[in-house]
Amino acid sequence: MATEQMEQQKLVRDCLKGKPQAQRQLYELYADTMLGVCYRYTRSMRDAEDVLQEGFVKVFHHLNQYKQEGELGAWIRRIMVNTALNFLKRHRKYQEEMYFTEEYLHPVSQEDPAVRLHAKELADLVRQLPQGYQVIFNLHAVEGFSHVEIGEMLGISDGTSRSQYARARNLLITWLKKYSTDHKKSSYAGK
Amino acid sequence: MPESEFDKQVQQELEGLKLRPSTAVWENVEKELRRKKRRRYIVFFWLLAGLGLLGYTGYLLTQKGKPTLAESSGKPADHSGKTVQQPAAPSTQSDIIPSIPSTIKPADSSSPADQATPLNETPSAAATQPGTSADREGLNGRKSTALVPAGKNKGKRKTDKTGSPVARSGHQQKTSTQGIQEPESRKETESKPVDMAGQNPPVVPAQDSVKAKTDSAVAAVPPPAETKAPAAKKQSSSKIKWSLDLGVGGSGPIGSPFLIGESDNTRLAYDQTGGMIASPGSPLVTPPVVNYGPVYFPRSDIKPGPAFRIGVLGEWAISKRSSIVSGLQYQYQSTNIRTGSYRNTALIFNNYASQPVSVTSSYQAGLQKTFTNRFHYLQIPLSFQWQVGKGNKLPVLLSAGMSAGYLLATNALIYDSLQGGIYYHDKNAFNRFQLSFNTGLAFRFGNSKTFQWSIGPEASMGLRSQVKEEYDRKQYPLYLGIRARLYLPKKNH
Repeated sequence: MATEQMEQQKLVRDCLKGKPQAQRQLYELYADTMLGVCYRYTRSMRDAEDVLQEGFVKVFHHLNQYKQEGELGAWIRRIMVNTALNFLKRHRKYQEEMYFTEEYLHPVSQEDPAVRLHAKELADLVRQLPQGYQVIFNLHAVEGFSHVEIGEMLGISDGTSRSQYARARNLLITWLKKYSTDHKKSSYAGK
Repeated sequence: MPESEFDKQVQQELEGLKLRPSTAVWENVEKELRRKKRRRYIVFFWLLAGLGLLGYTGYLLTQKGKPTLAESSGKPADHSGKTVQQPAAPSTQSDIIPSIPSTIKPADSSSPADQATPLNETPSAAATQPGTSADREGLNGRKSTALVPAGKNKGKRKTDKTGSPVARSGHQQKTSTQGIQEPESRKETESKPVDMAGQNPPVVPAQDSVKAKTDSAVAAVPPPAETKAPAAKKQSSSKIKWSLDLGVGGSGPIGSPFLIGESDNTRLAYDQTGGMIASPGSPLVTPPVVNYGPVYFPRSDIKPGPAFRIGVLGEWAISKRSSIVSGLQYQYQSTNIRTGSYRNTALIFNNYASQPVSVTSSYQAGLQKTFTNRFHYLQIPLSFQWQVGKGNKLPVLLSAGMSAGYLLATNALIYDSLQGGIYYHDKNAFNRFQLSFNTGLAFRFGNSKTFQWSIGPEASMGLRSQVKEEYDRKQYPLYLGIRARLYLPKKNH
């Protein structure tokens, strides 16, 4: 653990020196996880990759601000979330962009297909929520921000955040139930 | 499903979501990182260049002018009478008045009043030696010089058409000989007070040569009235960000833009006397003074004066942080010089470059009073503006560009070594079109609000001399000031 931390610190130092190899290494280390984060906030893989790209540029640009106290992954994740929120603010027409193309997806591994599929399908369901619901659900349920923090981040009241989250949650539960029923039906039909 | 369990499951599932990005993402990240690095160097370069130009402009505007001929020789101005050593004390005032060259005759030589000038106007004891008077006459170096009443000067102008320096030199010798051969004219002159150092003819009053006032030389005449140019106004459109541009600062000319110091090439021959001032007993035959005559009244230092700019500008955004700025501006520039007394008399002469000059009034060069040269320009700027950094709280804007200007009016004076040194105004002596390089730095406030404004230092340097080469030495206008820009609020549709 300590060795990992030391390696990470060395990696950060090398990145700060502007070494391209270290930058590439850092990117490879976190790109997959961070694309998962970006994917939850956007509605297309292309946009998710745009956010990821912008986020990593910020990461390298502001890496000197990273105080090597907390986990680097958490710091990068925070940058990605903020970048995604800015991206959504900039693209006001984003809500109308409902296209969703599977061909852009690149699942990482098939080690545990059931879990991975579940996570991806869950993420896809979250992405089908209305834009406001989607963001608040991600921020509260996944990132763990409180409603007060979400209210500050999005410029809304914490009450609005709460109610939006409750609606998003109910909608998602309904969809999951429906999905589960449909899945069972198709399973039985297959048997 | 309990709420907490659902939340926990969702978090666990979604946190583990990993997706592999396409290879293009890293390529773009790498490209962006390289571009940012390059951009940092460019910003650094611009900042350095801008600061350097601002500093240089400030240095040029605040530095003390080059020493005058008198100062450079370590002596006070010759017309003060302190620097000139006389071989013998003159018995009369006429003794200190040099002779008039034969080639330069007053329009009406029979009129004694024409040549009348108070004693305090004469350069003290300068060029009083009879033996050297001829030399000094020859030193004038002009092809021809005629003095006529203002109303009649066009028909009576005497102009030798030989323009080459060689021809001029030959003419000087001829003039010198004539000067020696005409002692009578000298005697005639000696009996009356004569204007100037005597190497040039006295000035004929413009209205009536016979009833010329003896105190015309010292008559205080108000300087020419300024010409006011209207401030530019333009209507705004919703697509362009319009702003009201205001600038206040100082202006002053320099002899050679983009070079520290002043090149000797930019100085006229009669400025290169190295402190050589006509004095009795000293034969002024050393070139190039010989071509232009001795300078009894050297040119004044040109001091910076106040300047301002007002206009309407439009900003066309070409990217998030860069824009093209253009519009219409009126600029007022001024410089200050020291002159002697005003002379409401007509002069026709050929300047050092054989350019015929006709003026109705002039100022004796000297240090008696301050004269303000005023320039009124109408300008069309075109500049590139770039915002440093992405922050919206207090954006820093760098700008650089060119400005095409037209000189609407000026009352500025030109120096000439005629009569030992005079200042005169000739509107033909100035280049009407001007091209300037502008740069500046500004801080924009109220970026998130409807009402925005910016403020910061700016500098502009003229790339073309204000004065035509054939009239006087080159003077490139410089401006340094503080610019404020008030952005017009956008219309809500």
